[in-house]
Amino acid sequence: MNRTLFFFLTLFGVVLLLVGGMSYVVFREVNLAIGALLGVGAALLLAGLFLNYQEVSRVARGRSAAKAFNAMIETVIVLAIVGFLYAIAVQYPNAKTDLTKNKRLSLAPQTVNVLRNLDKQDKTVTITACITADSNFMIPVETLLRKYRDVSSRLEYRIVDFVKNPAIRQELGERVDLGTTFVKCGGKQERIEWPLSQEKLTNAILKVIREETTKVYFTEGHGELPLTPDDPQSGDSYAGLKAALEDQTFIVASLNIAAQEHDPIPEDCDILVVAGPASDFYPPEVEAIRKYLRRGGKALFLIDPPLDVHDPGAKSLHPVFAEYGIAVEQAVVVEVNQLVQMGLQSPLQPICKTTGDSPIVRGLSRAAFVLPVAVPLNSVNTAVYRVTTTPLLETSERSWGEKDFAALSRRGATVSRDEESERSGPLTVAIASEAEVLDATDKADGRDATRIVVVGDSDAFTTGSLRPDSTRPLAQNIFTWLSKYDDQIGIPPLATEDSSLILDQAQKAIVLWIPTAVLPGVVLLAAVIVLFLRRRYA
Amino acid sequence: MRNFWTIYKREIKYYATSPVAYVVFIIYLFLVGMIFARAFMQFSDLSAQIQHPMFRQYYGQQNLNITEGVIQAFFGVAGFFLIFVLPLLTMRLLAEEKRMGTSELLFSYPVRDSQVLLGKYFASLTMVFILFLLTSVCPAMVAAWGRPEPGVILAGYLGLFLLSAGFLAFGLFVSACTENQVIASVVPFGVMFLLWLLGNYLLQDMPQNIRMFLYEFSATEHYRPFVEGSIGLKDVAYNLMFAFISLYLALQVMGSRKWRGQQ
Repeated sequence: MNRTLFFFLTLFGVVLLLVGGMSYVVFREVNLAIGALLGVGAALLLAGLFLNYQEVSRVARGRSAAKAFNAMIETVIVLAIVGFLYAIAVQYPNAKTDLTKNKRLSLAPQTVNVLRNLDKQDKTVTITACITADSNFMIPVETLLRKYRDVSSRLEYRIVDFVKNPAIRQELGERVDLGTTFVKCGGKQERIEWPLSQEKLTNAILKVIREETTKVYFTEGHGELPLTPDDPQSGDSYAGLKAALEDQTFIVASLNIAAQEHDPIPEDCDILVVAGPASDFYPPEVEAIRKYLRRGGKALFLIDPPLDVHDPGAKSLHPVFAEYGIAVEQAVVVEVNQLVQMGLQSPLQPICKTTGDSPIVRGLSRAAFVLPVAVPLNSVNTAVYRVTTTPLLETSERSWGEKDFAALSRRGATVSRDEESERSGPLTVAIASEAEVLDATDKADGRDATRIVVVGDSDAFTTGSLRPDSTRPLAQNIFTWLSKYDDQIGIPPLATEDSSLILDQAQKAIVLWIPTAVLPGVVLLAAVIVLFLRRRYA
Repeated sequence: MRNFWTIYKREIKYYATSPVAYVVFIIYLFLVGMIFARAFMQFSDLSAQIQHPMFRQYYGQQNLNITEGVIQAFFGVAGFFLIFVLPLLTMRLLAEEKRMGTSELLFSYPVRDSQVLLGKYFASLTMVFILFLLTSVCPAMVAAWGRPEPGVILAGYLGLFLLSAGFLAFGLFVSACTENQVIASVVPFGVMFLLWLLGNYLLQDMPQNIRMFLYEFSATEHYRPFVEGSIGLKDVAYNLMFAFISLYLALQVMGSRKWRGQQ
């Protein structure tokens, strides 16, 4: 009786002590329940030992008890060392290698930058994911949120079963659906609809932590493509780019410089975009743009080559580019690659890749950019400002800058490079330039640098050309660089590769029979042979 | 070292001539193969459907990826079914020696406990390695017709091997504790199943901080990253330490026969 009592009292005491200890590790506080667990556990353990003092004493005096004690101590020490090593490993949740092709399991550099900046900005972000515990959303949501939390301790998250906790609707003050996630920082709250993705989550965090918004003006009145197309299905507009920018907290509007009453370029203009003007700007408009840039303005110019021999195109801004170290060549890029030889692509659609070390092209080194009808650009010296130019995109070595526009306009004409007058590839088709602001008053206003980006193709960022793995992140990076938040650049392509596969009937039969019948059958045959031989020769 | 090899070869020979290993192999290959074939054919059907503009509109810009659709499904079930078959490989390793009384004979030879334990452990690990070699026909078929990501396949097999290393060591520990083969198979099965469920279902209703704490003990939580294509220090450490602790405890249990019952 005593032995049984001793065993159970001691065992129960040890179990209570363990549960109490683990609860303390989890909750980091000794509340009434944890205190009771630890107290009752210790009391039961002592009671068990005390009530069976004689038995304990007899066993303890035996040789086996001493050896058991030694073995127990040794085991405890080994377990403690192993536990300690594991605890160290747990402290490094980001020590991992992502073996997927496009590193889709890792957080994008932009996300990591945003999260690391939370500490510098002294901001705490709380994420609330509303799901039901038995739904399939739990694992993907928690996996993603844990990755975010592993990067920054300034990010807290909670997963709430909104069916069991209806009070969450009042707390959040919004309608709650299955899979809805809320991101909150200070007084700002953003709502994300299911499915939750890294892009949505990071953009929502950016929206709640940014104190100011960036206003982007697209010029109009010179034949530029519209921001909102008349035909929603049309790819010839910047509607896709506008949506992508609005996702990143930018406010996008149109601007007719000539029609402005007071300021040709409004004071709240953070970024000016001149996207594919078909005709020249009037001299006062050019002067307004020049003045805006001189005072630390930021601008993106998307320009086209003059394809018509009788129409030199919009060249009025070229002198402005030259002041910032960028020259526009009077040529159009022609590239004869394999796709062109197979008749699948026009020679006027060069395939470009990123170049230079600008943060704009970070994470895009493996992306390919098809620019339909592009003009080559050059970096040139300028005496007007102290500028730093950085090439962003370049064509291949098989390309050249064709200057015979008449030949290009003739139907069926073949063009070839004139080695004397035409430059061979690689040709730069996008350049970023940064110039120091000279005026002390402007500097005092916080306008320290002028930044411009010139892209030699206005179609590069139209809705029809925006690609999730190339042009879209490039455009977002350009705008982020031009804005005040250039430390948050670098979204790599995270979309999974399309590797769909349609099996024919024969392949389906192989897929069905080899793993389910042939493979187990081979093992069965081996078993029969081995067992037969064993019986025969035993 | 020679003793280790003697015991290792003896166990491999036993596995090769025992019907248990063959039955385990056949059942495992059939189950994993069946689910792999189903996943592969479903992926093919979905690939055909998505060509249709109506479905393309439904799926939007989302790409169909064969690694996520087939390879990850394969490694998911391959890991799960190990719970059922590994105890059958380890249950007799030490329990049978005890029941038959051959352990006394074995330990009367000039052989250390660690050599006996490691010889048996690596023999069982070799059998699992052979089993994985046989399953590699499945990803090989995917590679023959599609474009799976080799890194994910590599990570998946590493995860499977580490999971097996931990589970086999635990099975060996339980086998060292009892002479009853039923207990030696049921207890590891129960514990492995519990560790598996910890990451999937058992914790979903629990408060978040308890869930986060218990995740550290979950086998699924430390296997899923391998299936997805990531090799993490924490996940490798979990499996290696689980194996180490189990083997160490098994060694202590084997060593205890020398002093148990002494007054």
